[in-house]
Amino acid sequence: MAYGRRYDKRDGGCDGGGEDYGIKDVLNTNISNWIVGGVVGGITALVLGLTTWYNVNPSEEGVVTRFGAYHRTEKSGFHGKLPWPIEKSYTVPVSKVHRIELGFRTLKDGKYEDVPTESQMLTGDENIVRLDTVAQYQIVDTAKYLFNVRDPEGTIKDASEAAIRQVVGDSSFDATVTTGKLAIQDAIQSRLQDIVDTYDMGVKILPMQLQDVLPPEPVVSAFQDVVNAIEWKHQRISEAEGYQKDIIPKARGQAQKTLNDADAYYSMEVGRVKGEVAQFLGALKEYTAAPESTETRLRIEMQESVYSKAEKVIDGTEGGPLKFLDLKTKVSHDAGKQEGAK
Amino acid sequence: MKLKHLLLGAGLGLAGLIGVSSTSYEVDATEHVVITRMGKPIKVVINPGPYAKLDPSVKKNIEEWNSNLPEGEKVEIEYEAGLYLFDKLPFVDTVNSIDSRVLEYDSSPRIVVTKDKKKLLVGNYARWKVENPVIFLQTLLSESAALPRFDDFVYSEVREQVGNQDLIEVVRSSNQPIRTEEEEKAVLSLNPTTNNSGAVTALALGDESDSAESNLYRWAEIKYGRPELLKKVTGGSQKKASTYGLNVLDVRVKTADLPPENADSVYKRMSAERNRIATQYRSEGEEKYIKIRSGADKEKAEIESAALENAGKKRGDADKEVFRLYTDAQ
Repeated sequence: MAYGRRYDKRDGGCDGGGEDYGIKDVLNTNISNWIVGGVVGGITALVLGLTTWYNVNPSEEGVVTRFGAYHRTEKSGFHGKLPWPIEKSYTVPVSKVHRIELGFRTLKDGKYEDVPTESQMLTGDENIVRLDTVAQYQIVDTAKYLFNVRDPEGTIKDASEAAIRQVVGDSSFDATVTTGKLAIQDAIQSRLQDIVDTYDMGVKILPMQLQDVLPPEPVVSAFQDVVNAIEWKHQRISEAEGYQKDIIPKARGQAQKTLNDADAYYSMEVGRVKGEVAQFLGALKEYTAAPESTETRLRIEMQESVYSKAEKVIDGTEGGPLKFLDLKTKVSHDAGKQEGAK
Repeated sequence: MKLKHLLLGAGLGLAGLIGVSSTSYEVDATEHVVITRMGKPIKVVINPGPYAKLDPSVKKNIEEWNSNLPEGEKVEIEYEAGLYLFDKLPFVDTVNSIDSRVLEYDSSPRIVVTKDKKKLLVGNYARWKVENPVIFLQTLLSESAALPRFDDFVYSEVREQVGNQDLIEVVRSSNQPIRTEEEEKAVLSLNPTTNNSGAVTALALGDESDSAESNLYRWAEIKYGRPELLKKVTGGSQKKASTYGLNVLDVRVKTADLPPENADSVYKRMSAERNRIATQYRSEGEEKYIKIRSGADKEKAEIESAALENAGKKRGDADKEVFRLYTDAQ
């Protein structure tokens, strides 16, 4: 008769005080009837006083049995009942969310301990995964919870393990550790509800919580290496991008410099030649005045100044092939020779 | 004088109490009761549960069983918990209480060899209850005698059913397993006609990977799956258990793990797979590195060559202009 060991609170049903009211102290015949009567009456009053009511806290529900059989369920508050041994009462916490840890245990100091026999399981693609889960439930039918199953908590724990393994056994490893978690949680919850419903135990399963989903210990380093490899890949990409970011702007700058130099050359050459032409035209006036004497001098001066600066000359004279003369090297070479001769 | 009366009254009261308690009994909300007279069952009280909603099949079964008993051995059947006042003979009738709740059975994991010769460490649990307390009392007497029987018939059923199937039938439950999108895509692309079952999948680790061509796991199509197997195990166990007046609600797989030596090879395979993925990431990194760097070099060359081309044109223009100016001046 020790049912519902975990949650029931007896209101005095086990209280031995009531057993004595049929027995009298017969040894001392001098004892006054008053005392005997008083003791009997007192015990009776005590039993009645203690066992004709019970209290149900706001988070609880009360269940009353009459001669052992379920009689009624009552909400929170102060309730009367028939005295022991006719009626007995139980209270059960119905608002409380019960929690069962699977695959791990929270120790007293707040640390966690792995329970490998619970946490390791096969996935649908024949890999092994470590799963820490918390199953949660609420009692929705107090009488069923009390009277239909002997070990409700152990039953829910067993059923949770079965449900988790079944669902994970029907999932891929990658889905379990990455994108499939929600689907897996939902599937476990509904699976578990189905199972406990077959036991008719008055329990509602709340959403499951997948805590840690990890690869098994021996392959952790290999998994870590994948993470490292992903990091390395990104690092390599950013290195290359860094190189790109370095050389392209420089190349653009260099290109602009090349163009600017060319523009500068254009301006310089055209400006300079325009000046020389102006100078030439000025001299031409003088020349036309006295052509013979100045002609030779001007021709030599002009040629000297133009060809010593130009790097190349394209001879556009009609008739022959286009000629190219690298004046700079030739002239400076010749000049060097002349200087050496001196 | 008065004391004498009191003692007399007390004596009578005590006698009355003994009289009532020896001829009456209570059927608790958690038990069935069998009344035996000199060891022979004469009455059974079936506890119908807290709301008196007894499964009709239970009632039918027990009444059928009773009607098949030879004359003189039939028992009286009642279906209500509570007080049975003046309902038995004192001293010769015994009240036997039998737990009416769902009871537990838990087997320690045992090695079972599957049809494809793989070893599996299978641990089961079962939930059961006493359906016919009279048979239970006659054959087993107590719960502690029942559990070893469970060891026998649950294990033999599990061994038979699991031994007749490939390992994957024990692990998987359906042909629509929960998979990642990449895996689904790979399955579909390899087997576009037969929806998404029984094909090959790529084991790519999420969106990080660029290529999904690395096929490793072949998703075999299953014929039964774990729930179906367990239904058979439950049915077989139930058949054997009913001879003891028991009802097996279900047998479930609590653990189905590979034994350590086989687990090691799985770990090796998993490591190898991850190594492959890691290598893939590394070479993808190298690929990107080379592509980006050489692309940058190419871009640099293009920019510079375009600049040189334009600069040359400009210089040509300058020289052309110079010659024009000279020519005009002449």
